[in-house]
Amino acid sequence: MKILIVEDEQRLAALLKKGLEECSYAVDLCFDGEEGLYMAETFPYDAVLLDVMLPKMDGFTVLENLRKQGVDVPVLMLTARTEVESRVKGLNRGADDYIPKPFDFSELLARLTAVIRRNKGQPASTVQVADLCLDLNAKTASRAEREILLSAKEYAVLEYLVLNKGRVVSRTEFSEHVYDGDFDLDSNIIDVYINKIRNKIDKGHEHKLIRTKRGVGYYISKEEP
Amino acid sequence: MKPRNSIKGRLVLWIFLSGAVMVVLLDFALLHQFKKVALHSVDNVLHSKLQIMKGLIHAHANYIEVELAEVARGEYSIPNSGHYYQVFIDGNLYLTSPSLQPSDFNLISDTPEFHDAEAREWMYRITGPDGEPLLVLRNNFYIQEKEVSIRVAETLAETVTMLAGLERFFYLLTPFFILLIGVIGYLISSHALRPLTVFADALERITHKNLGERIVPDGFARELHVVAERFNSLLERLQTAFDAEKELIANAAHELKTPLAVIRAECDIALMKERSGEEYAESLREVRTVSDTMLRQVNGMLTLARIDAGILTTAFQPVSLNSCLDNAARLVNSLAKEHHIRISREEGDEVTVLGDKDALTEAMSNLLENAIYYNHPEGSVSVTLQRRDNRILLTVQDTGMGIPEDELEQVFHKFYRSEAVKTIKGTGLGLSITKAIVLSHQGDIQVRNAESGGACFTVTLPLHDDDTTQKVGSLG
Repeated sequence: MKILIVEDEQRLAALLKKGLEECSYAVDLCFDGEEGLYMAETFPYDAVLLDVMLPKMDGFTVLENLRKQGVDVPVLMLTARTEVESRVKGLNRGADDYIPKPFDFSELLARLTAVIRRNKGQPASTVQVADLCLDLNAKTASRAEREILLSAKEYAVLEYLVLNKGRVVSRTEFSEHVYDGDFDLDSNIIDVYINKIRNKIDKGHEHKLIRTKRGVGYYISKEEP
Repeated sequence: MKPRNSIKGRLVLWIFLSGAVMVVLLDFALLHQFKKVALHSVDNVLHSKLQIMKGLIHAHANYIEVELAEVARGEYSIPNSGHYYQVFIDGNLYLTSPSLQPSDFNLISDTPEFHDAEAREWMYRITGPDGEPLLVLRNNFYIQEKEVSIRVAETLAETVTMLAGLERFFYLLTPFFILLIGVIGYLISSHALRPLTVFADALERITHKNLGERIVPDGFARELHVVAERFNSLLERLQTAFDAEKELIANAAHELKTPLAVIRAECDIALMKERSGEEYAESLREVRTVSDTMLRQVNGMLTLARIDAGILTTAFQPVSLNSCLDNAARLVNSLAKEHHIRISREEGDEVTVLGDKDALTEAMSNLLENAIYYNHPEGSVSVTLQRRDNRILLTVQDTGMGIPEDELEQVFHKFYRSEAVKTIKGTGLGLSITKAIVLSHQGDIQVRNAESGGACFTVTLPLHDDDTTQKVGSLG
């Protein structure tokens, strides 16, 4: 999952990036409202963490413009202003959640995960594909009741696949949602990760879950091929 | 504190006292006038009777005829009726009214109450044969070289009784009138002061929560209208101050919450999983750095609060601005070296102000620090300090990017930081503190962009001259 953080306090932004990356998220940063709006309009993020007090354009205006353009990415407002009016204002303009500063990082993570999950039409925090089970909160995977150890990137690829189950995901889409903007894209890397994941979850199982659509990409399905 | 005296009480007292005095004076005047009128009517009766009697005394060739038989009937015939007369000829009692018994009763006393020498008339007040008060009119005249003297007397008993009754009536009525005046005074004062009560009620409704409300002055009397308008303008000023305070607190909370968010996130993320010692150390160093920022901010806020409370001004002393500038330059020396900034100074004669040395040094070092932070590397800061008439002029100019024209006004606002320089660390309070210090020294601070590009701050302060103080002192 790829997150855009728009926060002018650079120290905080860098910290959030570090924390979220350790939780298998890819994170892009920008430090003012105008750049934030441009990034959110241009790239397909899975969620945006948006500060309210921003240079050049405040968070409310960024949000309003995003919704006007029909961008329905989940947006979490982040602010030190805790007045009720300020919160209501954010939610009324199409924010999906509102997190007051200083926040608890695990709470921020939980809310972010929940917002993304709901946006993908997934109300529960665990997703099942046949006997493969993903815990979206704990970021763990298991198959046939046996836990599978995955690296952060492997989990990110698998999670994206699972949340889009039944739909073919192209290599470009993968890289857009799993890597941050600074990464030099080489779509072969996705094939490498898919191979690693196949080795961990499909190896030794009769029923192979991860399938290849030749020339297009990969998908996951519980149906027998 | 208990109010010392009430307007209403005083008003009632004054109305009561003046009313009472007036009632008493009026009583006396009326009684006196009544007395005068009553006596005057008796006087008239005496005179008219005297005239009639005089008309009845005829002079013949060798004797005098007194025809008082007509008069002697009626009231003069009833004994002790209170109406008497006596006629003397050459000092001998010649005739007495039958009513007077004994007939030789002396109707005059030694001391006449009134004497008209030309008309030869005397008036006496004596006690009659029955002990009743009598008013006696005596008239002497000559007929055929004989001295005739007529004495006519009328009782005053009725008049005295009437006057006594009147007096009693007044004495009974006066306290009642005084009481009535007291009540009226109370009612008038209550009525006159009622708008004040309504006004007080209107004030009562205004608290710190609805400072925006105003008193509608239209309903009040002209005097209170003015008070209401003054009060409204006071509320206006209070509200401005109150809003500024609220805004400041909201800003302060915001400014402190952001570094707190960093500290919290740093800790939360560090604790998320097992890490190497170096990683933990890095997190602790970050927390330390952020807490330093917070400490600077809190100290800045406290300094501002202290200056606002006027604590500085209590201990002002003559201070050499040159030595303040020396100290300030020393404070920022290492920072300047770090940023490769050269500081040049141009100073005239030594100048002294009346002020707080530490505060003035802080104000100057804030200006120097800003000039270093918001400068280009290898840039310079030029400082001038000189006397101009009876003012001191301090300018600090840098070679940095300057300040956007539309933000020049705002740089002195608390927590204001230009968006262009958000990356440079700072509390947003330095210039507010500098301005507060300068203002508390009766000075002024201005900022403009120099033609060469950098920002130029100009501080003016009143010069403290020992000579002038001595002159003022000797005058005082």
